[in-house]
Amino acid sequence: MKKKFFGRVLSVLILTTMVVSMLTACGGKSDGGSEDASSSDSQTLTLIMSQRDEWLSEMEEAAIKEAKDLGIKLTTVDAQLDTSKMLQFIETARNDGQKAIIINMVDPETAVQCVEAAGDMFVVFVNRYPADDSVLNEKVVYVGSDENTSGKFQGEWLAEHFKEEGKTEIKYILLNGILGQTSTTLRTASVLKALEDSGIKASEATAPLACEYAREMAQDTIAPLLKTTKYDCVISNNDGMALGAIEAMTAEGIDATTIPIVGIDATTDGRQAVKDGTLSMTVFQNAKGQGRGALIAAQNLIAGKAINDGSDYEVDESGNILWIPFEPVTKENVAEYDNR
Amino acid sequence: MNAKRKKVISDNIIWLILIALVILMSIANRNFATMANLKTLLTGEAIKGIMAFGVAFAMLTKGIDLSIGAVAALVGAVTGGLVQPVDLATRAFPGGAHLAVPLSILLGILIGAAIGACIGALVAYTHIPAFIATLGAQLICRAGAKMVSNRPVSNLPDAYRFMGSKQFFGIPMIVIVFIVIAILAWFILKHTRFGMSLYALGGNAQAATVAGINVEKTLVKVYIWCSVMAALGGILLAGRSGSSDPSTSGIGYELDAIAAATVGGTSHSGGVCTISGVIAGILIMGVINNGLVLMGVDDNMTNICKGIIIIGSVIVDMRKNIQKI
Amino acid sequence: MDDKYILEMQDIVKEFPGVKALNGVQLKVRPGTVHTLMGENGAGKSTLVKCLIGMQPVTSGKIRFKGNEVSYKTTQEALDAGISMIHQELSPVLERTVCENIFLGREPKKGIFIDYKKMHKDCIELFEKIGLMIDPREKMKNLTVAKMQMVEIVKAISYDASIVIMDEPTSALTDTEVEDLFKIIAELKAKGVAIIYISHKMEEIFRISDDISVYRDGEYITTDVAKNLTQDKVIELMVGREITDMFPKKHCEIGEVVLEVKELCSGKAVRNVSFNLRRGEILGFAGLVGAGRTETMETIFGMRKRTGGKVYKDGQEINIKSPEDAIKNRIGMLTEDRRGNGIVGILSIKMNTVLAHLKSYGFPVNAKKMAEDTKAYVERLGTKTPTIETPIGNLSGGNQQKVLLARWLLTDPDILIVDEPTRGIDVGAKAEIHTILSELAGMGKAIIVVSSELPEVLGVADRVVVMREGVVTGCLNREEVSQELVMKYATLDKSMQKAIQ
Repeated sequence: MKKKFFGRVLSVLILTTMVVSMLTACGGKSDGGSEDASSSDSQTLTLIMSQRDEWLSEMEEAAIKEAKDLGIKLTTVDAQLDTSKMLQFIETARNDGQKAIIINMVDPETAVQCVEAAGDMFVVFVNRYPADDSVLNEKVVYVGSDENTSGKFQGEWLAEHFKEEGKTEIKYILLNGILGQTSTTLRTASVLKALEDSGIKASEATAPLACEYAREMAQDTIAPLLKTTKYDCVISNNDGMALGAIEAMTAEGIDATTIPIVGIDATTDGRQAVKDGTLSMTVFQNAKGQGRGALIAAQNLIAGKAINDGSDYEVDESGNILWIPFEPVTKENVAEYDNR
Repeated sequence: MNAKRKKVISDNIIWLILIALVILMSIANRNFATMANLKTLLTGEAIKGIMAFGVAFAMLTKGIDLSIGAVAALVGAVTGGLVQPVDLATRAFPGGAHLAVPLSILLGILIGAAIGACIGALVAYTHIPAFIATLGAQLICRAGAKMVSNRPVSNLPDAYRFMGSKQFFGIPMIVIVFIVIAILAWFILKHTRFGMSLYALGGNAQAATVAGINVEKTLVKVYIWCSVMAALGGILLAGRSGSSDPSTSGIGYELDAIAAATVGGTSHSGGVCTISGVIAGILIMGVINNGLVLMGVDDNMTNICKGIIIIGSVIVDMRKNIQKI
Repeated sequence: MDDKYILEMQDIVKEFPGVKALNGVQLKVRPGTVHTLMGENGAGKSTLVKCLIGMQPVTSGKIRFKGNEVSYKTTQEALDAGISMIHQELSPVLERTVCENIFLGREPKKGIFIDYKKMHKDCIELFEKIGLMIDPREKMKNLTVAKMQMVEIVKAISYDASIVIMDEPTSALTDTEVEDLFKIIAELKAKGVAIIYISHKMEEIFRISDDISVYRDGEYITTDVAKNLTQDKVIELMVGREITDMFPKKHCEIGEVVLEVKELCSGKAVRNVSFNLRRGEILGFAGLVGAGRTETMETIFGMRKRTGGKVYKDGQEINIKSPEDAIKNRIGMLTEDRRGNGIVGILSIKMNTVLAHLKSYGFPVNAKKMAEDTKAYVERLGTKTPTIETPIGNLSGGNQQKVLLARWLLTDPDILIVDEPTRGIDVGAKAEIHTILSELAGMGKAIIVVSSELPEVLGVADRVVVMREGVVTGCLNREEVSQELVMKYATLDKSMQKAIQ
């Protein structure tokens, strides 16, 4: 009896030990990290992901690949949309004596807290722009794509299209993402500005529509409007909602290829729709570029160089933002994006 | 003598495992056992820990509470929204509705209590399983939180963030709150009539009824406690990050809290729970979270490790209880 | 070894953490006999048979069955080898039918499907063999406890085992059903099956036993042929001392009426029950299983909804809706179902003792006083336990009952209702509990004793109320009461009852 019991306790302890040491072995390479921290070739860095959706995972993969090329040991962790967890990850990296941290924020409102938690570390925000951008300085930088240009590409394409048709006054249906989010606001504002700048008088055909970036929601929202409203084009904050609109049209017997529909993201489905001609154009947000750029920026910060050093990415006038450009995708060039 | 030693080991096995883990982590990474990292670890787990003290009470009575994460989000959104600067353009409550910080926090606690009372009444008087009642409450509270605001409630004033993000003589306030709640929970369980009746109720509800314990009222109180802990968690969560996003805040916290309580030896078949066990459970989860990240272990591996520990701890516990009876 | 025995258990030792439940115990069973195990609760009888059928592993010792040394790890292994058991605590699957319960885990199959037709037919055959009138398609939960017990017995027999163990098989049976059981036992014996029989009921033991083994406190005392033993001798062997009086009835002053029940109703189970109870009096409640005695007490105590009638205490009408109300009115009740609604098995003796009296320990609770009170009652009632922190589930039935009695004595009730206070309890503890009840009456408490054991009711009660099918059929004084008279009222049919009224 007694022997058995002790055996059981022992086996639990041994099992735990085994599991932990197994895991230690997996991550073992980072061990001597803090000792060699001064020599940049065995630098340990952490990339904190807000979550792992398709697009962000692509960014993560590119970052891991770039780290390998640069000789950096990169740990990636997933905050699973939990701000508190994200902050904990930041502090843990700081306690580990790491020099810089790359953060894909869960909530852009928490940028200040992230910087606080990071202490002496350099901070690279990636993909999600801080709500309060006064945190950006020579130690805290942003790597991402300029949302002001994403809508601009949509607007420019539409302006050109309507000019060819000889129209200067149009009515549009605009599918907003999540209201209040920076990306939504900027994408919407920039497309409307681009239209105006190109001399097109555009007015909204419906009440403002918000579909949370969700395909189904866009489909349901737009379906009843298609036959009751007069409109010249559909503008969507992302591909998903644009595809929802296309599905609604098909269901109503409307040929989507006859109507200009524009999206953003150039997702796999989005590109296919461009090839089919149902989606007129989309805008490519370069996930791999952002992942790569973040690593380059982090390494340059540690080395005390300009954040775009050694790359052909542009920085803004302050030198604290690294822009990974958006790229317009149309039927002509869509094939190029299949393997990017 | 030998039997005594065996009992000491079996009663404290959870702490032994914790100590073993700490030693292993310290060997694996020299940056683990530092004051700064201890602070990080505790701060990170404190909120879930407070919620675990809540849900442990429910589990003690053979119940469960799946709504705590959503309650935290709702309370975080409401209390945060009420203290946002009046002139903020993106206010959750545009225009009016502004409260002083202490009043807002008090209101948050009261909202928690009210939700708890509703859940408790449902469980006690309609006899629907707590799993169902709290699953429903989870959906309702999450929706309620999103109705308060469809964007993160941010720009929270420092006074509101006092508990969540400030330090007191070098100790994070959040950890102090955690310790205070731990002591309170321990006191309630060990030194009040209410606490003792929880054990009886969980061990044998019919026997408790016959012994004159008002099972219904007791259950209502249990869920009030549980939801108040969730509300407090929500306020701390918003305070810690300075922003509370109603659509993501507190998601999964109910499961983490239940896991910590479970690892800490709280039985899902009721009647068994110690506060020291729950604390150990929280710390074990914290050590794994923190230590494995420090080692640069992929977080899928971290979750596998946590899964093994949850299942393993329940197996050990069940064997212990079978031996007892 | 000797093949005179079908089963030999030698030097069996079984240790639980902190307790030696069996200490070098032996048991030798001859084929085709009834071998009765006797001993007080906690003597180790149940543990011994549990070790035999693989429910609990032995710490050391040898078991030889049909000449081969065996060691079963599960009850299934024991069943396959030919040892089946009727358990003291019933474990039926309530939502399934009688038939499915009997064939649980060994349903006759046709391909991969259960052959319900064959199962049904087999079941009826089994029932006919022993003259049991139950529809195999009835759901288990619709049966009375007695019928469930019979089904369990049929199930145990149906395995064609060479040893059948019966642990308190008659505790819930009526007299006629007990007779049926004895017929079955005789048949089994004739077929060469050995029966290991555990019971506290002396009369039935001497009627059916061939051999008797006696155990005390985990030790083996002796084995002898039943003919060589007498009741008194067995009791002496079991207790290790002589018990002079099973029912030490003290004379006490009977005072004014403290409880008056008028036309009490609760659904169909309790119909227009009226009686009164005086200070210093022990009122017995007799009747067959299902007579509504327990239900009446549950209604008074607030465990069951009262649908009519009134209850007065000290002349004041009281409205009890829950046990909480009852306790406030200083009524205590030791329930019939010790495991179901009596003990909280995983909690300590201390917690179980103070449970109904928590209100008196203030805020924060006075833990020291709790321990003192518990210790005082452990001493006063002679509860056998290592410490007051021991989980009550580890104690024997008799000691559990003492703790529950302590729980109610601690609340200092004016009225104490005890329902089957000595069911499944050994003779020694029985006499002790009777003494306590008598002492309480002497202190001016009013006590109601519900019991299915007539000698007990007649032995302790000042007056006996007899019930049948939810109705009071008679109330007899100590002077006039006899077993025959009680049985007459208990089995009275409705027409006669009207005639009396």
